[in-house]
This record gives sequence, C-alpha cells and structure tokens, in this order.
Amino acid sequence: MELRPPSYFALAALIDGPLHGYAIARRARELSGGRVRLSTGTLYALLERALSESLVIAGEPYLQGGRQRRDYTLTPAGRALLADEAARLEHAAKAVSGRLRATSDAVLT
Amino acid sequence: MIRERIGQAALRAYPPAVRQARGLEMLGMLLDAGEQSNLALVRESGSLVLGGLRERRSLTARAGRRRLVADACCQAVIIFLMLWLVSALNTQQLLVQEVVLAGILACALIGYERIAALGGLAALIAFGPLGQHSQLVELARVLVPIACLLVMVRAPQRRPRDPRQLLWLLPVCAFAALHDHAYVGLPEVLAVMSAGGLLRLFHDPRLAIACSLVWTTLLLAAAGRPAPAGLGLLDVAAVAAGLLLTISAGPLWMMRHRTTP
Repeated sequence: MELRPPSYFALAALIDGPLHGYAIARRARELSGGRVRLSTGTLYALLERALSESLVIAGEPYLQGGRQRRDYTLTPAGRALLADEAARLEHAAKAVSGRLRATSDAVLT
Repeated sequence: MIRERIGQAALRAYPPAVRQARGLEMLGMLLDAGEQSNLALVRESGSLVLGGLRERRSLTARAGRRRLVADACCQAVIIFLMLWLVSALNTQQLLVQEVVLAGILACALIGYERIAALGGLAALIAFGPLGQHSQLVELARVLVPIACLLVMVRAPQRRPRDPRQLLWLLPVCAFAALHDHAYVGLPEVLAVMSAGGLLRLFHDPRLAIACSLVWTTLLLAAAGRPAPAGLGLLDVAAVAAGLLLTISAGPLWMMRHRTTP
C-alpha cells in the first residue's frame, strides 16, 4: 500500500514516540522540510484512518494547559508499513537519480 | 473565548458521534494551531468544516447505494404527505381526510414509517384518484408516490423513533394558514426544500433525490392540466426534476467508488 505524503509524514512523526495531535502536525512539518502542513481536519481524518487500519493506537485523553490532548503511538504494523514505504521511495529515488546522473554525464561528454 | 466559539461552530460539521469522541481534542489542536494569527484560525476552522463534511459523507456512503435510494424514497413520501396535507387544508376538503393525513404524516415523522406507508396507500385509495373513475393521466400522477410508498413499506429508514420530529407539523400548518390556494404555493415550498437538498448534496444526496421525485410528480400533475394553467409549473417542475436528478446522481455515483475519505 502506497502512502501519500501527508499520511507518510504523519506516521513518521510518531517514530520517536507517542505525540498528541498538534505535536504530530509540527513534527510532520519539520520532517518534510515545511512541505507538509497538516491542518486539524486533515490530521484527524488521517488519524481516524490509521486507527481503523491499526497503524496507530490512541491513548487516554488528558488535560494539558487547559486543553484536552490524546497521545498516538505507532504500532508494529504502522512501523512496518512506514519502513516499506521508505524503502520504496528510496528505491524510486535511486533509480531516477542514477539515470539522471548517467544521462547528464553523457550530455556533458 | 470567541476563538473557542468559532472552533465549536466549525466542529458542528462533524457527526455527533465523532464530536463526542474527539471534539474536545480537535478543538484543542485548532486553538493551538490558530494561536499564531487570525488567518491561521480561519484556515484551521475551514479545514475542520471540510473534514467534518467528508466524515459525514463517508458515514452516508457506508449505508450503500440501495439504502440511500430507499431512504430518498421514504423522505419523498414525507414530502408528498406534507404537500398533500397542505393541499387538503387549503382546499377545505373533508375534515376526516385532513385528520387522517395528519395522523399518517405524524406516524411517518416520528419513525413509524411502515404504518405510515400502509396508511398512505389506503388514503390514496380512499381519497386519491385511485378511488375514483379517473382517466389514465390522473392515475399517472400517483405512480411516483405509490412507488415510493411501496419502497417505504419494504425498506423503511433505519432511524430511532423521535417524537420531536412532530415539530415539522408546525411549518406545514403555518404554510397552510398563509396560503389560501394550495396549488399556487406548493412549488415554492418544494423549491425551498430542494435548496436544502442541494446544500446537503456534498455529504448526503438523499434529500435532493427525494425532491426530484416530488418534482417529477408535480410535472406529471401539471402535464395533465390544460394549458396555459399547467404550463408554467410544468416547465419549472421539468427543469427542477432534471437538474436535481442529474446533480444528485454525481455524488451517488462517486459514493459507489469511494467509500473511504
């Protein structure tokens, strides 16, 4: 199963440990170099889907700074999916950059 | 405080079950993300509204196309009954007819749909063109209501019984009191309902389909009238039914292909 960039970076945000919604959005933005900006509606739709596919699990709600939070944790299935996707992207990037290098050398010579 | 109210208003786009499960958490994130600027708050609120509509759409799609079409027929029956009652009240027909129609409509509104559908069929036989020596064109205009009533008997909507739905009788009675001739006002009422159906079209095409079924019936009724009396209504009904059917077919078709957000 291929992951779209928002799902990929939202799941990747949880690699280092459980995070709550806003922290996931911030971490995903950092990891993607500012390219992925997860809004509240988008993030919760992704989380809902990830929960239904058992890619993440939700913790108990708690209060922090007067706001309700809930931490999400990556499951082994989520980690495996992320690893597969990272490998796929790496392979695709290598294949394309290899061809680009080869053809640019040919063009220069 | 105002920011929180804006967030809560945006959250209303989500189905109640989602609001109950994650509403406060989502509101917390919205307020965090919207702290930077007013623009960020507006953007986050907009995203929440879109997310909520997508969630509702996904919930509707899970019912399946057949169920959605059956629900639309049941909603069409309720609209038929409302318009029929308004018409009966305005044309001052037999009191017994008005009482019977009000009773059937009340059953349908509360959620006793099978009883209401059987009552509706009986009322059509007793008071409608089925009970008289009518011409074929007269009978043609009850074809759609009969089909919808039969669907309602076979597959009523799956919804909890709710006596509060009886409040819908108030606008029906108010409308009947305001108009002294029912036939003039019915398309306007239906147009208002159709506008509501179009507004809900993104996440729920049922009301739009129901309205198009009622418009089709008005079209058949107008076709049976001599010109020019029926001509204006015929045109309006034809355009509205065609437009609504075409527009609502799109979301219904997409719901078949994309059942997840």
